[in-house]
Amino acid sequence: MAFEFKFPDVGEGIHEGEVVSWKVKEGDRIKADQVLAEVQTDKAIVEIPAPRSGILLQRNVLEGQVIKVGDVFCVIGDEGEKVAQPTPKVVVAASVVERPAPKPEAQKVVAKETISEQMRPVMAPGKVIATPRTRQLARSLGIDIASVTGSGQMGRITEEDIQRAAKGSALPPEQKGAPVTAPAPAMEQGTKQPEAKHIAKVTFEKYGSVLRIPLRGIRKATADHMVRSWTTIPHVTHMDEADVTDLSLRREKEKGVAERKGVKLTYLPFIAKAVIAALHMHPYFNSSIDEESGDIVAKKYYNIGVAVDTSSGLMAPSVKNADKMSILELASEMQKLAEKCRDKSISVDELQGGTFTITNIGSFGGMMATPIINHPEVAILGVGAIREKPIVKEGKIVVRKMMPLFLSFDHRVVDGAAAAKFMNDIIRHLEDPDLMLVDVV
Amino acid sequence: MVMGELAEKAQVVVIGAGPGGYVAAIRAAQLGKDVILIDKEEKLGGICLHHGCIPSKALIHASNFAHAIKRAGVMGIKTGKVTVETKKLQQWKKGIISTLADGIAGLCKLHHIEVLAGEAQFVGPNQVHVGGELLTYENAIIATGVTRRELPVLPYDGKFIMSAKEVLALDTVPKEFVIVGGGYIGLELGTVFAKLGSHITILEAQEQILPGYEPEVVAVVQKRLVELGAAIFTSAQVTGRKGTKIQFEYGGKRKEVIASAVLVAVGSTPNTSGLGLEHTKVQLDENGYLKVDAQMQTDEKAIFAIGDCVGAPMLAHRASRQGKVAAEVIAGLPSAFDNVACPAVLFTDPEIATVGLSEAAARLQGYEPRVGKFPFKASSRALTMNETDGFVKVVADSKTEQILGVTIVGVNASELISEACLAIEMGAFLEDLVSTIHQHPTLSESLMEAAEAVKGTAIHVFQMKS
Repeated sequence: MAFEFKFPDVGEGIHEGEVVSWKVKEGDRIKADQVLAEVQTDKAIVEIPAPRSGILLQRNVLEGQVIKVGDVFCVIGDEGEKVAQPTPKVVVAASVVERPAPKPEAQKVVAKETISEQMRPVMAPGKVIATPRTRQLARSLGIDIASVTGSGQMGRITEEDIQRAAKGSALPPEQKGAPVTAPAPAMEQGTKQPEAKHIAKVTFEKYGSVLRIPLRGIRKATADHMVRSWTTIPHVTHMDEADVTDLSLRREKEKGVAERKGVKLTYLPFIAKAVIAALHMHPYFNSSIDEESGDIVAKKYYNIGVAVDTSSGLMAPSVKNADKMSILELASEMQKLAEKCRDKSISVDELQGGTFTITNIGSFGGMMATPIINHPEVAILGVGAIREKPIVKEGKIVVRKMMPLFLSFDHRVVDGAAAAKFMNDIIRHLEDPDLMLVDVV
Repeated sequence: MVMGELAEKAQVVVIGAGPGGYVAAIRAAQLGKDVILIDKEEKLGGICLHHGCIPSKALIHASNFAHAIKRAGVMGIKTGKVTVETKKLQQWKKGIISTLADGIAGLCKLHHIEVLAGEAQFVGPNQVHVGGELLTYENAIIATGVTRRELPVLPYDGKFIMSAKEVLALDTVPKEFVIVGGGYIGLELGTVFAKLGSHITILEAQEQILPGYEPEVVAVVQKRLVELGAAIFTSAQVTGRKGTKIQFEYGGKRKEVIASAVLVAVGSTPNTSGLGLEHTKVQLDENGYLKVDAQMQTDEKAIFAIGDCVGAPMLAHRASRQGKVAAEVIAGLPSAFDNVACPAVLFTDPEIATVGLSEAAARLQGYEPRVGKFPFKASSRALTMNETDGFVKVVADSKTEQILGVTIVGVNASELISEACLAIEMGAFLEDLVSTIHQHPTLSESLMEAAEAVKGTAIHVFQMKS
């Protein structure tokens, strides 16, 4: 008996996902728990396992398409079974269908005469179910309503769906809904009229050959997330540097110990430790704005996110309750999460719930950057490449290892002075590794 | 009307003052544009007002009224012989038209719309000639409509072989009235004169009268026509005339019918020639209609086109809606002619009104339609009006129960269809229609019942459980 596998609830708050790639073809024999496809939710890439063994009869979603929880994902059946193919939708004008074909002799006298009398309206309800007001809203926001997934009854598209689609857009609405401006009266005949109705479509192909890559998967999720953060949070970036000469010695010393336990000891767990210590002193940096209630929500847990570069894009898993961990535990946990990101076994839960994120671009070089906050967090700490620099200390030039630090923060929640103080406390801990041990719970 | 006071420039020029053009002009003026409205006739309103919808409805109402009196005996109403003074009827009709035309002129004046009488001809993408004067505009809206098509074998002479325009102005009742073309114009006017005393003969080239309409709908109207004494020939090919005899082929035989008057109503052609469109980038489709997009914009970006001259379905209310869209788009609003429901109404006896998809069309579009029907025989109100012919039919998608189309044939169908239009335009489901309280006792309950019939739960018709 063919079994319709409905897209399962893959995690907290996930209503839909975009199919990034299918791992099985129609007709393939599949085993229970075998990965059917990779689906990108707004949090992570999730592998969808087969609920049972059998033959994959039909894939009901195309790669790049969005599927909602509860929609049929694929059909699994037994050997020899077939799926009833849905009748293809053919669009034919109503009037053409019903008008009986005139007899040949009829064409002699009144051939085609009745064509313009066809009264049966050619307009008809289409696939989009939306009120005229909603359709007008879509146009005013520059949204192609046919591309919007309706959340209402039988897929009805609501005004909220349109607003949501508009927010996910990279272009500001007023730019997209550009009005048709009447061209100024052209006295010369044949004056070219400006293409004013829509935003000018850029034809890159005009200037040479190009390769078009669909914006999807992690790339799309990152794009949407960055726009949301950048357009809702007023960002300010505070920059400084820490003298990590002593810390580097400490790290060298402990490295061997860690290695014996199978852990690669980087600077990251030390930075996380310093950040946690500073967060304890400056709780606003561990908060979020609840956009609905308007409250600042200060969190009493410390889940430190780490930006991980993977072949398919940027991911930011978070170490839960990082304040309860030792340096070595932090290092081991971060290593595990990074590996999971790279082999795509990371879970939605591991990608959610962060309270503060660290992005270490230093391993790729670079001195300063202005990171974008991982919304809805309040701040993100960027770390640059450690370099030996001539530093003036007590009137003498000395060579020290300097670590650039840059903190982007949400100016709605905290001010520049607070950021400087927070940064100073991070630096203080990084410059005195012993302090880290004393301070931390 | 402002004459001899030509403005050299206007932001918007509208060519054609029918129900598309004048509505577009008013909407553009409401949105702050300075507008010139051009029509080749002195009086505003176009064919619809002067030679179409309005005069025909006046005559239809009058003839229905006279006919109803003749049928009122069953209610105990007794009259002597009912006679219709056609000259007086024409006067009444003219009064209505002039009231409405003056109303449009008044509205234009109040909106500071300059009205010009004359033929318009484009000389460039932003310039148009009217009566020897050159006008420069930012945007133009073409709303020139269509002209009745002539039958080569029966050329119009305005007296014996007439178009609807002349028939609507007749102040006599032809004894033998031959109607060539069994479309809605032929049937509406044929019915009027049958009720006024003509003996009518309908010659239709296709297999049924009202081509394009479902046979069960046509049957209701055809029954009435036969009751009125009409002779109907379908698949009949008119071949010419010999004196006052109209010749045609029917069933492989040559036939002729004596006529005292002939109405030829066999379609129309777009009014696009002589407009100077060759001086613009405006494109025509293979049938000669103007090509436009959903914003009613032609290939010449400054020029928009609306109404019958952009093709079927040719309906005044569609032209008005398109006129508003064009004016709004010109004013920078995000409008589009994206309507999913455009009703069509035939003032036959009884009336026919349709909106959305028929059952067959729905199936062809890939739906699995389910149909519910409610006969007016079961409507208490229809019985009290002594008008029980016809039915309401609702077509819905069996999967989603979305309402796809409604057909009403029966008394007041033209008014009853509005609710169905709103339902379809809003994307309503059967449940929305059946859960709405419909006032009793009215014909409108029939739409609710027909929607319930789709679900198998109609109260006033018995439905076997399947």
